[in-house]
Amino acid sequence: MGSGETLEGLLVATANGDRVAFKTLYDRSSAKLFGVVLRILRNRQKSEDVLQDVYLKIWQKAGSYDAAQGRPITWMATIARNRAIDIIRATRPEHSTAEPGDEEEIFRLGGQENSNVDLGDLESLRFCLGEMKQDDRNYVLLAYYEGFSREELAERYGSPIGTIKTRLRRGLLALRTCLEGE
Amino acid sequence: MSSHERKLDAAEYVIGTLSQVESTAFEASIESDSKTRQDVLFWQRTFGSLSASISPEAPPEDMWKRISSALPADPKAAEAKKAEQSAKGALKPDAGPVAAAAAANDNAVLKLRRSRRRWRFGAIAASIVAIGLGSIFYNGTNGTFEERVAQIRTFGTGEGKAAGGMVAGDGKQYIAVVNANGDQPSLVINIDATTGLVSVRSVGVERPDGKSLELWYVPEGQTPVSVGLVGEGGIDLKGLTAQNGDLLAISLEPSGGSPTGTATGPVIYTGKLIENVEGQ
Repeated sequence: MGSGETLEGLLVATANGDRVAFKTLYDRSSAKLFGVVLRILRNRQKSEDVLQDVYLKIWQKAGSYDAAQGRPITWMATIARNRAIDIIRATRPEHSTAEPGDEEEIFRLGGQENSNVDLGDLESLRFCLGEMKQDDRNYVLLAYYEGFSREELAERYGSPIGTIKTRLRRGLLALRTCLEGE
Repeated sequence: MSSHERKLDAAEYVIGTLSQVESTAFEASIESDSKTRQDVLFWQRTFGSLSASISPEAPPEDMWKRISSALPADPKAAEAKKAEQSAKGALKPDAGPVAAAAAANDNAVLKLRRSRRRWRFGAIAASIVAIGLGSIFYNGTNGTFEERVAQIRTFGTGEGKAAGGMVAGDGKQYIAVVNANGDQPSLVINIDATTGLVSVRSVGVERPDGKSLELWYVPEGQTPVSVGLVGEGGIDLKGLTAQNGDLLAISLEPSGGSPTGTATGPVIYTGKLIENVEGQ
């Protein structure tokens, strides 16, 4: 199992119980996944615990990965994000001070793991996000990056939840239409 | 439902803004509708790309050791793992079919609805999940429940057997409240971080005919509050504020529960709720 092994290959080997492959998979993905979790939880201690849980989940579920679910790193990041979201729904205090984040962030490409992401996809996404109305985009970004719920968005923007839902979905529809047109 | 609505539900499902109720209902439709599955895949791929833009952050040096020490030692577990994985394959990777885990246990699993704002009990329990994750994980569907639970590690509370522990199998997380008399856990409170459902499950506690098992929540120094009958319907923990040291107790009551509002029959089980402390 050298560094030439693809993430797909490492996942297959992990599914077969290969711990060396799993370690390699960990080495190549843990910083990215930790970043995802930390971004939502904003608490190092909790994030460490969640990261451990995430990798155990990846160990358990490696055999269920298939290419239709996206790139391996995307699949793993989804596991990490979902776990962090579950925790934040249960434990976050009422008032979060998270900000939508500078829009530049969506253009930042991170580290060496980028070789595993389809840059064409990312470009389309950047473009289509850029086409959205700013408020609509912020809802989507806050929800995605920070794990905001509709209630939290409603509180942040001082809008009724119904309005939030409408706008969020309007933005998502525009996003999808744009992406399908790309 | 129009395909328009379905696509938007899928998007909200993936980013996590559906409510618990909507999310659970949506998950059911993923199973049954291939178009819905396609929609979810689309959004997962789409939003997954956003994760690419998040700055990586190096985890602590000892993280790998923590992970590898929690992997199952049993080589047979790899077989069980593969069998388990082919049975699942839900698109949201950490939402597996709930029924599979329930079937593994003979006793009734009581589903509780967590009210996010009010139910402090849920919040504390979930914080135990958040902070105590990674203590012990048992992977695999083999082994009796007792064997799995035997791997619970007690936290360093100095309280002997009255301690909480974590077991994860089938992708769920369990908080076992150990019987203070030292035997195997008799009551398991299951927090499913995926769906937010909390279930209270009794293990190896047989219900004699004509009797009910009533579950009491006993805040320290206060009168016990009945929260329902085990295996018979609803366990309602809403409105309770959980504190470290609170007890849960099961008493044997006439069918239908105690007629007096307090326990009339023998208390056959007690367990203590241990609040996890940061850094533990």
